[in-house]
Amino acid sequence: MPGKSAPPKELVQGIKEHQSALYRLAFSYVRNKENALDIVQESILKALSQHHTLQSKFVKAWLFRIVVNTSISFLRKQKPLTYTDELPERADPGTPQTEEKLDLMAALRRLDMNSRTVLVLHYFEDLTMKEIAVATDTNLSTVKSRLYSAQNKLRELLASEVSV
Amino acid sequence: MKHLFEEAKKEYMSASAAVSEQLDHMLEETMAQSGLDPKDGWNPPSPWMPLWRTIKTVLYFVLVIILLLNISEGFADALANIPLVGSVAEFLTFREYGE
Repeated sequence: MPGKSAPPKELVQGIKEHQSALYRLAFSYVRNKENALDIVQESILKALSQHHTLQSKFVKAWLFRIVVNTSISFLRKQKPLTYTDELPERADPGTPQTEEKLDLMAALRRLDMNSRTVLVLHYFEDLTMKEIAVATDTNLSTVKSRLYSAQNKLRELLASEVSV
Repeated sequence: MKHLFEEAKKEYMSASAAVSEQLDHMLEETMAQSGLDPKDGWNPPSPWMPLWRTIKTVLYFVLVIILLLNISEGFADALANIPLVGSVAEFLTFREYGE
């Protein structure tokens, strides 16, 4: 049975090498140290038990995919009613805007999961388009269009905050 | 767009610095749960490991028997009466008893 065999050396090395990146990615979703550590631990266990599905050329991207999926399921379990794939609506004109200036990190947190994931992987983790495609389990053209759309959404968010 | 991310990247990257020890500990724990040994540098266990462990156990057992045979006359006498085992025990006994 493939799941029972020993994990390949490159996977174990990859986990050691990228453990900090895996944590940062998980933290970017959950914004909580303990939860991020739990997600990384769960992801490593999944990776070690499902190593037969590993594409050895993309160890890092494959590990990222597990962390992304585990983080999203975690968030869905935590807030099943508030999760949305859509860009959040601007606040009602009558609602007082937050005093705090919205910085890039805060703007990123307001983006939908797909946009946030593609921006984080591209700009913070320096993954190539192909690696992002592996990490998000999509194809290259989807990654390109998601990245383009995410950049536009982010620009809109930042511009709207500056104009407030 | 890239320049916007340069500053934010520092904040993003700093998230893992504060928990590096906890990450190491968690990794150690997780790898152990998966049967990977830190003594091997977390490398997957070699297929020869079980055989090597068996050989070592047998060697230790034989050494203990040799030691007992050579320090305890009673133990040597007890084994001497067992067919086949007696002749092996005699072969492994270097000390002459009853002199």
